[in-house]
Amino acid sequence: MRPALDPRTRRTLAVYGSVMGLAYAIIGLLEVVNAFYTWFLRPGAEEALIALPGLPAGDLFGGFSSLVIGLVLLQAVRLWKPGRDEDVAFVLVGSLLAAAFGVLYILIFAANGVSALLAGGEELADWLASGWLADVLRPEIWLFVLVLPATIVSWRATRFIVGEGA
Amino acid sequence: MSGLKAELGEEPEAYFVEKRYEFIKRVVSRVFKGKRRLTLSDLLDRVFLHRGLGIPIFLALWWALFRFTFDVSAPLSDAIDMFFGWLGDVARDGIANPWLASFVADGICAGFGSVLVFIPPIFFLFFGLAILEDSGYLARAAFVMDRALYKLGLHGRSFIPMLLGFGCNIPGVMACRTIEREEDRILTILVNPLMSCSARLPVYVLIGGAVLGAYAAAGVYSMYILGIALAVCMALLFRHTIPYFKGRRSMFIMELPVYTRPTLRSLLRHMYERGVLFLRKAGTIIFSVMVVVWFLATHPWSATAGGELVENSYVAMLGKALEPLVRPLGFDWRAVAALFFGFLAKEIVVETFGILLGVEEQALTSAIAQLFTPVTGLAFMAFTLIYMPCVATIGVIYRETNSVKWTVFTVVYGLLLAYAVAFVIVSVGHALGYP
Repeated sequence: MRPALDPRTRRTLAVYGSVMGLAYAIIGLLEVVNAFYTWFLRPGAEEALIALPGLPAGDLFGGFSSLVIGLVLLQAVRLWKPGRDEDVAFVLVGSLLAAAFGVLYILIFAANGVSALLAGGEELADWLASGWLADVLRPEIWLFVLVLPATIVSWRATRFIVGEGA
Repeated sequence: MSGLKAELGEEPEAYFVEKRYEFIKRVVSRVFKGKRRLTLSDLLDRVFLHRGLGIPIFLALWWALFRFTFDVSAPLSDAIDMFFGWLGDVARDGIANPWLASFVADGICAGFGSVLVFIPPIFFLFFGLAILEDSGYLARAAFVMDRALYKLGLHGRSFIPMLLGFGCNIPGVMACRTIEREEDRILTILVNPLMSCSARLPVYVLIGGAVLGAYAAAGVYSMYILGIALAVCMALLFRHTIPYFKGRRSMFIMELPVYTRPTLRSLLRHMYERGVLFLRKAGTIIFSVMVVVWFLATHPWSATAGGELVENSYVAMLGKALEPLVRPLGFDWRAVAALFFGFLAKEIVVETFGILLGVEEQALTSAIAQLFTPVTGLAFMAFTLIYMPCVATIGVIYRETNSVKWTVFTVVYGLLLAYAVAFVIVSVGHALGYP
C-alpha cells in the first residue's frame, strides 16, 4: 500500500493551487490581450489596452508562460477527491515554474538597474523615476511570493509520497 | 498503410511504440509484486510529459531561458561595450600614423569589441541550457516533442540533434548519426541548419536591441521558434515531395534519466566548455576575417580618404553589386555585405556592421537603428537565421551525407527560403501598418 496524504493537506493544496492557478491564468490572459493589442491591432501603441500597475504592454510570450503556469496549477483541483495523491506533482511543478519566472523577473529588475547605473545620465534618471517601479510591480514577482507556501507544502507532500519524508 | 492508420486511430508506428511500452509495463508488474512506490521522477513526469501541457511547459521554459540570456546578461555586455569604446578612443588618440590608428581603432577595437560583447549572452545561454540538461528535463523535452515531430514528418530521435543545433549546428549535424535509417538521417541533417546556433545570437541581440526596443527579447525568441517551425515545415515538405524521403520511419524508444539537482560546478563546467568555443573562434577565424573586412572597407586608401568614406571601398562595390537582389526586403548594400561575410561565420555579420558603419560599439546600436525599421530588422534577423549555414557546417554536412547533391541542396533551399520568409515578414509587417 502506498501512503495516502492526509485529507486536510490534500484539500488545502487543491484549493490553494487552484486559486493561484486562476490568478496566474487571469494575469497571463490580460498580458496576452495587451500584447495582441500593441503587436497587431495598434502597432507601436505606447499605452496598454488594460493599464494596470506592472502589467506589461507587449509581453506576448511572458503572458503565454503565465497562462501555462496557471493551467498547470489549476490541475490541483483533482486533489480534492481522494485517491489522486500523485496529482500533487501539478502543484509542485506549477510552483517551481512560478519560482523560475519570479526569480527571473527579479534578476531582470536588478540587471536593468545595473545597466541604468552604468549608462548614467538620462537613462539612470528615467529608471529611477519610473522604470524600477514598472519592473518591481510585475505581477509574476508577487504571485511567486504568494505561491511559496504551496511550493513548501507540495514539496513536503511529494517527499511523503515517495517515502522520503515523515 | 492508410487503412491500418484508420483502424488504429493513429500513426501505426506510434501505436506500436505505445504497445511496446504497455508490454514492458505488464512484464514488470508480473515480475515485481505489489504496488511500486512512486519516485520523484514518476511524479514530475506526470506533468512534464503530460499530453496537453508538456509542449506548452517546454515553450514557457524556453522563453524563460531567453529572457535570462538576453536581459540578465545585459549589464555585463554594457560593461564590455564601454571598455572597447574607451580602448578605441585611446588607440585613436595615441597612434600618430593614421593607417595604423584606423587599423587598431576601427579594425581591431571596433571589430573585435563588437563580437566580444556577446560573450555574456552566449555564456548565459549555455548556463541555462546546462540547467535544463543536467536536471534531466531536456530528455523529457525530446520525448514530449517526439509525437508532434513524428506526425509532422520528422523522426523522434531528430529532436536531440535539433536541440544540439541550438548550441552549434556542427555537433547537431554529427549527432544525426544516431538515426539508423539513412533517409531519416539525411532529412534531419538538411533541416538542422535551421536551428538557430549560438553564432546567430549576436546578430539577433544587435539588430533586436537596435530596432525592437522593449520587444527585443521577444524578437530573439521568435527567431528560435521560427527556426523550429521552419525545420518541421521543411521536413514535412521534403518528405511529401522528394521521393527519396518517402517510406516508413523507424520507431523511437528512449531511456529517460532520473531527475537530479544540478551542481553549480557541473553547470559552470558545461557553460565554460561550450562557451570557450566561441572565444576560440573569436580569436582565430573571426579575427582573421575582421582584418580582411577592415582592409576591404578602408581600401583603396586614397579613394576612401583614409578609411573615412566607406562608400568608395571594395566592400561597398561588392555590396552595391548585390544590393538590387535584396532591395525588396528593405536591406541596403551594408546589410548585404554583412550577410556575404557572415557565410564564413555568422558572428562576422555583427563585426562587419561595426567596421562598415565606422562607429564605436556604443554607437553601433543607434547606427543600426538608422539602417533598419522594426520590420526590416526582423526580416534581416530571419534572413540571418535561414540563409545558409556557415562554411564549417557546410563541410560537416558534406562529410555526413557524403553527397555534393545534398550539400548544394541545403545551401540553395536555405537561400530561397530565407528570401521568401524575409519577404513575407516585410509584406505582412507593412500590411499591418508598421513602417
